[in-house]
Amino acid sequence: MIPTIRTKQLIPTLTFSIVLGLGLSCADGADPDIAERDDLSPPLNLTTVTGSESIELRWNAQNFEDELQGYHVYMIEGKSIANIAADSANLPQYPQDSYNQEATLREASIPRCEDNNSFFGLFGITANTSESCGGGLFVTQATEDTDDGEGTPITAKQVCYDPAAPDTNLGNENISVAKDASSEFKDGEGIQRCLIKGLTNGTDYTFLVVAVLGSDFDEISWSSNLADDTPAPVLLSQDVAYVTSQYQAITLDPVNFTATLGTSTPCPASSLCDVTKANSLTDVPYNIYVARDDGALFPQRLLVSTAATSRIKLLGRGPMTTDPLQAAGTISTRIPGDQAVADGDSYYDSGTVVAVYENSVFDFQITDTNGVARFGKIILHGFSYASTSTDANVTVKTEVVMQTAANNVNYLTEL
Amino acid sequence: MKYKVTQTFHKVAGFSLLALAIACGDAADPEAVTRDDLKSPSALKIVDKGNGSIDLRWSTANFEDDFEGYNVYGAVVTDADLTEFGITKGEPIQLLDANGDAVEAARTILANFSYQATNQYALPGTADNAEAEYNLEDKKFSALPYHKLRTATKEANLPTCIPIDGGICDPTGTVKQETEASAITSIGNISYSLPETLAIGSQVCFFVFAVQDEGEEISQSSTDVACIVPKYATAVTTSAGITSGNQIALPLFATLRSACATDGCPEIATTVSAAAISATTTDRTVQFEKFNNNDNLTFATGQNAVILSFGYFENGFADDNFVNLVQSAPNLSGFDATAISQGGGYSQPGQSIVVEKNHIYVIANAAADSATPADADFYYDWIYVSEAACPDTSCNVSYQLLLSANPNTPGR
Repeated sequence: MIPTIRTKQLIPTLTFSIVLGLGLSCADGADPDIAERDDLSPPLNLTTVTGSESIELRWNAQNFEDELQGYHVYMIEGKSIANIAADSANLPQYPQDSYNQEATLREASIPRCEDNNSFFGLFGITANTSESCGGGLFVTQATEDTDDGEGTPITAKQVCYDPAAPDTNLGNENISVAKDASSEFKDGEGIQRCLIKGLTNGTDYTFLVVAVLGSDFDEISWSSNLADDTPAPVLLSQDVAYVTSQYQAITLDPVNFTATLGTSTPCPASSLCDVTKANSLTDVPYNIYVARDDGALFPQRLLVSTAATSRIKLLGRGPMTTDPLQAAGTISTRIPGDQAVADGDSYYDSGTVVAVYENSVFDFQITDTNGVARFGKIILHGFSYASTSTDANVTVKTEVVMQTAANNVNYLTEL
Repeated sequence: MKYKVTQTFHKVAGFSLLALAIACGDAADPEAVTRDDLKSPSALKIVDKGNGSIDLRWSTANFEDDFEGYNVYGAVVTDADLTEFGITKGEPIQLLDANGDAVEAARTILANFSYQATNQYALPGTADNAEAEYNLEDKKFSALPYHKLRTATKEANLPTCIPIDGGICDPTGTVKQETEASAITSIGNISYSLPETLAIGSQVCFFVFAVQDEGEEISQSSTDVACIVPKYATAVTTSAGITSGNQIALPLFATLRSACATDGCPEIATTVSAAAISATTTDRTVQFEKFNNNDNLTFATGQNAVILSFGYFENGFADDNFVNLVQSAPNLSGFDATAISQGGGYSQPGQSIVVEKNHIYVIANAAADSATPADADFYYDWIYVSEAACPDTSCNVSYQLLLSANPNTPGR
């Protein structure tokens, strides 16, 4: 039978002391105990990396427990954290309990921080707020199953269960617990990653993670914070030849989420192709321009800009960094935590022309005609000159990615 | 008399080394416990605040009932010293082997990182620190982490610091703190400001332990042995009134570096002039300039100097992203001022790049009178622009420099 919980039934009973008194003594993988955080460290600082039809989860771990098995990742499809907050009055049933596909949250969970009450509210749970919200943690404690749930069932997929037995939701990119018998320093320490594939671009997803203990998966930790994200399509990824004294426009469409590379065009006078001059083009609100420096001294380098009348603003984020968590030799645009800068005032003024050197990343903020802001990145990889002549064509892999969700500042994965 | 402990720690041969099972500990020689029993700090990073002032940052998840705080170990050591000790930067020091037995050689490492006057590698400030009960030769796991002497008893006041609100690990100072251990937890990121002033240009390395049970138990070491070579820092300088066709030149970095080493970094002059800079300029390393009325403020470098933008860091050199993401500047490889482009994403000498507020740049520079310096001759100096604005026909800029004492040290 599918366990369900009603808020009205639970609210009077979910005091911390009562919950503690319930104590599950016969836990198993289908109905695990909740370990104290001293016994099983919960995942910390869960963040997401937006990909195309995928989302990568990253969290910090301090798991050295002997019988650490891995992590449960729970996912709700079609709802952001804000959506969940808005839906918190509804009381859904628990979803089906199926090992690798749709799983329940097992037993009920009590959030530690009231900020996350809404998530658990969907499962008929209210928070115990007697503990601090430090670190974004919230406690999970076992509660008694009840029945006759109401509301809309929520799909909660259970993934990244065990890297030794990846399921269809995971690829080889999954990195989780790596036990090493010769060292106790490689248990579940540092940043853990889990790539969730097969998602739908433009759809919201919300996640939480717990650590799992015991050969029968019979204990789970307090949960992580919540994190949500929306997969976004790749807009542009191709080698582009930039010709001396010419520029090319990349036209973004913030409604249909496309990026179109224009034809190579001769530089206009005193604009766009000179680092000391503003881009004075007009009527091109959604264009990013990549140009060859038309100055006499440095015709070999590139310049990037938006028009003075643009609805796009740029911000240099420096060189691409090699992410030690990626596979060897893979360059990631940036690592988690380096999100887009939400404050539009920090971006370059429209019309600013900026010099570009190889392996550079620029954030952009695009504001549509309804005033909705979205963030993205343009990445200019290594420069390959046709010759050593300063007027030689240079070919640069040029990539554009953009969040489809308004105001989403999440890190974007490399294409 | 100072001496060093010469026993080499061979990490990979840990099983062949003497192993000593410790059944129990006391505060003078604590027991090292597994990370299952006491979570050790992870992701140790160092923030260079300039002129020998640093912060340590690490991540924690210490919910243990008897958790008390952290012990910080530091030493002034070269890369050769680290090799001799068997230490690898970025990796932990193992106090226990796979069987849970104490690794005897780890005691030697701790002795070399002891905050004791007789230790030749000790951090500054050990002159009044001569507790007889902590002989280095005893090789105790306690081996004196960084601390102050308790005023009342002249004993080491440990742990080094205790977490308080706001992610701060508060130095215990000279007065014993009576906080109940059960009331102390530490979750997330912790920052600790080392009270001592370090020597510029000499590498200093640190690691951290968690402590519980009245000092009788210590954790495994932090996941990283983190190192830094402290840099000189100039005061934040503001230059205003950069109008069309004018510029403000910073002093030749070589001259500035020498002045910093001699009398402390001088105030940087902010005189505006019309003198242009080019790839052959030898009396300036870099300057701010504004070509025309509607132009942005730009950087340009002189001979044998190149710039790379690291992008936006709202909180400058202390920004979490900078500390966590940027390990070092890209190395120049085959520097050639006449090439079509410079490797590593650097500009070429003489090129202008736009100056932006809240951005960090690295300026690689060598002697300006050398025709083609070797890559190893370049200094990697850092500049944070905290303000850059051209509200009308003139521009203002505020910035701070971190200057490396040694060439060929691109580390952050």
